[in-house]
Amino acid sequence: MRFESLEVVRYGCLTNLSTGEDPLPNIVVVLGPNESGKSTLFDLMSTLVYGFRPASRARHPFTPWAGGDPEGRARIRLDQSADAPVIEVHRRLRSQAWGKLHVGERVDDIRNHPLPAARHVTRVVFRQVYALTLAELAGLEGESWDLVQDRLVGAMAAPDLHSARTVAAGLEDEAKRLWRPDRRGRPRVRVLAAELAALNERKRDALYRDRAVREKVAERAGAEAGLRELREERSRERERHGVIDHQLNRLLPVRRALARIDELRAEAGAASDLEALPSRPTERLSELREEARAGKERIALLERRRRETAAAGTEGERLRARWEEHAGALFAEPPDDGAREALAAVSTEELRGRVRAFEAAREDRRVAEEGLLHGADHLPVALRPARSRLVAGVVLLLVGVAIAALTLPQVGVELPLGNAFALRVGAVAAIGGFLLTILWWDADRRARRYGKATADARGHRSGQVAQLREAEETARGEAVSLVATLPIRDSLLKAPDMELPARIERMLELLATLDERSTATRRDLERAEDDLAAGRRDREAVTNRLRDLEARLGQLGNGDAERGARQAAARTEAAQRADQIRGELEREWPELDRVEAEIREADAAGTDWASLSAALRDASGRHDALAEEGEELRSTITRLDAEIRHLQEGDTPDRVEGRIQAVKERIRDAKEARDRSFLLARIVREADRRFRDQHQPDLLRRAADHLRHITAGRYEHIEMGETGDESFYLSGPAATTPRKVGQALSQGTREQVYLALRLAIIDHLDAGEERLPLFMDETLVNWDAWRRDRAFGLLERVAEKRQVFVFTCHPAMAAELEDRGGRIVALGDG
Amino acid sequence: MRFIHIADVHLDTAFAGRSEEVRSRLREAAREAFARCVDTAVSEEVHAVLIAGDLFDGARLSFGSEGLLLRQLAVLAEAGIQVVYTTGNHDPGSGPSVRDLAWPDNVTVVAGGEPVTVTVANRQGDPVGYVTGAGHATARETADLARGLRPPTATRLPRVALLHTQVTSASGSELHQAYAPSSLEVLRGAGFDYWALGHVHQRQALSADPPVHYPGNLQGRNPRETGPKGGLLVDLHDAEHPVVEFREFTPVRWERLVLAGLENARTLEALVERVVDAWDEARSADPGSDATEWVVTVDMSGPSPVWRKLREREELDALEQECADCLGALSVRIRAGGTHAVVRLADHIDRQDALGASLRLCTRVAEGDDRLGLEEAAFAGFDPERHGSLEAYLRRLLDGADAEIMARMLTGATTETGSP
Repeated sequence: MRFESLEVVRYGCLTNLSTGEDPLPNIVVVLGPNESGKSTLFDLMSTLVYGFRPASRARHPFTPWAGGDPEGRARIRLDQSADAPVIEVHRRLRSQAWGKLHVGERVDDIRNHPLPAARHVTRVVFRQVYALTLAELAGLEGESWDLVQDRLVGAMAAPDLHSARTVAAGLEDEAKRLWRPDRRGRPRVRVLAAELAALNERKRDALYRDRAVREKVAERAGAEAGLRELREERSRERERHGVIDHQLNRLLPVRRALARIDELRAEAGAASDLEALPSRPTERLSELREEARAGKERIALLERRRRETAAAGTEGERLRARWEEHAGALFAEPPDDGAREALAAVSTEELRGRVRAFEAAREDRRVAEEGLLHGADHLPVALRPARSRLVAGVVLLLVGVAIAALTLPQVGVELPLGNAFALRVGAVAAIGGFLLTILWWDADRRARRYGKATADARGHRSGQVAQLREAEETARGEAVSLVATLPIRDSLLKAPDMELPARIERMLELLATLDERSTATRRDLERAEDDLAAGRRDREAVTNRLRDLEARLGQLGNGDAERGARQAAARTEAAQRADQIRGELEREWPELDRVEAEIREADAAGTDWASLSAALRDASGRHDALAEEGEELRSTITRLDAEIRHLQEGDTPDRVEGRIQAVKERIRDAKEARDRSFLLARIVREADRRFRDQHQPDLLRRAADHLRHITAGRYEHIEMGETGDESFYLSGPAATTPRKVGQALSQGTREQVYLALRLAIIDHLDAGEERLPLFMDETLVNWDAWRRDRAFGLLERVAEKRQVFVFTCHPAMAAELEDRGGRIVALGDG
Repeated sequence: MRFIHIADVHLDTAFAGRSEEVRSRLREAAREAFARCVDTAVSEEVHAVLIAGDLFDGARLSFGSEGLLLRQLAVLAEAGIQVVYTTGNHDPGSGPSVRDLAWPDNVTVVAGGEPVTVTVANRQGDPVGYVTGAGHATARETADLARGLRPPTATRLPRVALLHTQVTSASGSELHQAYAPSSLEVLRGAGFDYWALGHVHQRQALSADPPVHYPGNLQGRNPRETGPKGGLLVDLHDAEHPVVEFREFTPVRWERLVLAGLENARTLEALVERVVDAWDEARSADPGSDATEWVVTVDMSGPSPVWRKLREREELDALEQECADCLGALSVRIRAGGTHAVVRLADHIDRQDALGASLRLCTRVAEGDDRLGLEEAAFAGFDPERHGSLEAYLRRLLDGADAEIMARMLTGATTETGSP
């Protein structure tokens, strides 16, 4: 297959590029600087052969820069087609890929299909293997030759392939990591199997716990049932306890009290025996006896009091005698009742006033008479002449002077109390005597003057005396008139004085006292008589009661009142006690009848009252025992709950089984993944082996041919190592013994070997088919002149069978190839 | 006669999920579903609840499930509802739970293959119908128990057959072991007015006359068991026109979303959008109830630009959580093993290199044209009972293997690299 012409309508950066009508030669040098479109041109050529990829204008990497659809056409000469050696292909990428193939006169619609002549080589292989780049050779340095060899032989130099052996080894490693038929290592399946074993163990544990839970639950149910029974029994026991407690603490005391009441009532006997008896006969008997004794004493006392009252009447007589004595002194005759009444009617106050008036009148008359008789003698003392007093004053003056004179030194007398003292006494006496003499002299003078004046009036006084006598008599008459109805002695009436009303008052007092005393005595006597009579009656009543009581008590006491009293007291007390107890019961038990009915029922039921306490203790003990038992059961249930909770905290068998299934699934997956990796490894390795077996001899033969040319005969053979050694070995004049490619050869020789192999691969791939063009992109640019010359020679040889396109940016290299028959197609400035 | 027909309650199923939370919820959901069944039986005033086997998933019930079962049966007893329960292969009559459980008086357990006929009465004690059933005595009952069932004669009351059996023509029966197998012809010819079956988890009516029904299981057990699950409310008052209504009991439903063609979903976020779109589409067809909780499985396959991320557990966990949040689901599990790089097999299978050779060999092995001496190899996961033949197992292993080989051997996600 040779491109005779190329026309780029629009493709990437290229537009309207044509190689012209002259058929392109076997070697075409595409010359252009970097970014001038060399890769674009290569892609267009592969597109013209294989179609657009991707077949989408939007996604196509070489959408024309100038716009429009990618489009190109080429005229191609086919080496292997005798009937139609030249074809024209025209492709364009519209909304869909469009393609026309002109074969002679026929135009085939190939749309996006590859050219039939290129179908023996895939598009991928064409793009990768038929294009030899500088990078491939540059990459040889530092790369393991084994890998290079693998790529060359196994992958036929396709750069997009990993080594089949590497892939197979990777798959085998993966398979081993998952599962191994031997027991080495810890592949995933083994790990999972261990996990599964652990889970199975956990499942066994879960099953055990499941069984244990069931057992515990059953045990708990038993304990619950036991607890229920226990509760019921406790309830019964509580009820029994309540009944016993009620009987013991409620009914029994009542029953005892009722029994006591019965006993007391039996002890009290017939109530009629005691009906008339006092409540406390002994005390009452004593009281009556005491009362009888007291009555006796009281009568004695009353009798004595009566006697004393009677004796009190003597005092009245004495008073009467005194009254009669006074009456004899006052009255001329014994006063009768009329005189007494008249006496009581006298107003002593008025009488005293009239007596006082009479006495005043008599005094006035006497004074008048005396004044009339004695004149001055009748002067007041203060106005009487006092010459004696005047003399006494002069004497005192003189005595004083005399004493003072005696004290003079000239006298020469020593007085007993001292002269100084005597001088002072004498001075005082002299001064006093002087003053008294003056005063008394003045008084005597005034008395003399007054006496003279009274003598003048004496005559007038005699007349007045007569008048005063009349007035005196009148006053006496008025006074006497008040007692005129009384037989008062005349002597007393002759000159009544104040003694008269006093006597009358004394008489009245005596009379009143006498009356009062007489009345009181009579009354006391009556009272004493009454008291005495009452005392006697009381004593008689008491005596009667005592006698009656003693008689009844004597009946009770077989004649002994004391004993009867004691018995009566005891019986009464018993009856009272019975009533008291009954009262207390009724207060305490408002429904005493019902309680008594209960007691009767209990009695009827044969209740053993005596053993109630024991029964209660027994019931309490049983109740406590049941409570304890219940507590134990509750404790058991609590423990079982905790155990059940604890047992349920772990995994349940179904959950573990879920995990087991999950692990089993993962084991199945892992085993299948292992088997798949194992199988793929087997396939890849076997395919690689077979491929090598099929292609390697021809490949090595062709490579050796190329190598001989490129090394100018220094190396003539490329061979495989012995069995198991898949390395390549070179031999020839330069290596009399085979030399392993990967070790002893120079980098240059290795590159030559690589080129020989690459060209051999291409030859091998399309052997017997249409030979597709070879593309070399700056592949030889770094080779030295000798080796490059040998390589160009080899290319000339290759170009005899297939068209060779050399892409370069080096004009010198282009020119060199042009010299060897190549044609330059310039791109850009190239 | 009015009754509820349920089967395959599978109490204590060991759900195999990654999340303990989801497993617990699913286990609890089975219990809730049974409780809802009981509530419905009481509210609908049925005469009986018929349980066609597999009431338990294992031989022994967990303590919790046992308590729930007894409580719910007591509820039925209090409501005067009889329960007839025939054992299945998961809960055979020889099992300890069936044998040892203190079944209430209103429950008739048919634990062996010998047919038992139970007279169903109304609340007044008057007979309203008969239920004849047989149970699995062992976990591997192979006899056709249906053949032994005979309806009572000389009665005009409805006669119901109750059996845990695999009718071979039932849809989805291939997913179950053929225990107590029978055929529709046998069932039809027996003379019962209604066949209450269990064992096949997919709800279906095998026949309308007489009605032959699988109610399906009460709670989906795995991602395949999608759709609403529950029991059948059956009214046989009019024998000519039996009324069979489905009642959903499950609180948790499984949903499976299948996503392919993921080339344009270039990010995990875009994948979430695709999941949400698929979910919306599924819900528009089957909205479920507001209270339904969902356990969703998303099967992703085909080329995906993010296929490598889908291989990473952490990325996948995050994606699953994001999807669960977006869908409001209890759990979302993504199975992305079928995704691969955005490469086309056609682009590489003809390559003359190790990749092309591997792809071609893979195809030959999958097709059984090349054995590679694998008969001698040790396969860890091969289980003849589960996988059948080794060839079938290899085919299963090689499902999507070409994509994986490409993914492993190609250095990039695509082959769109080259030079110059």
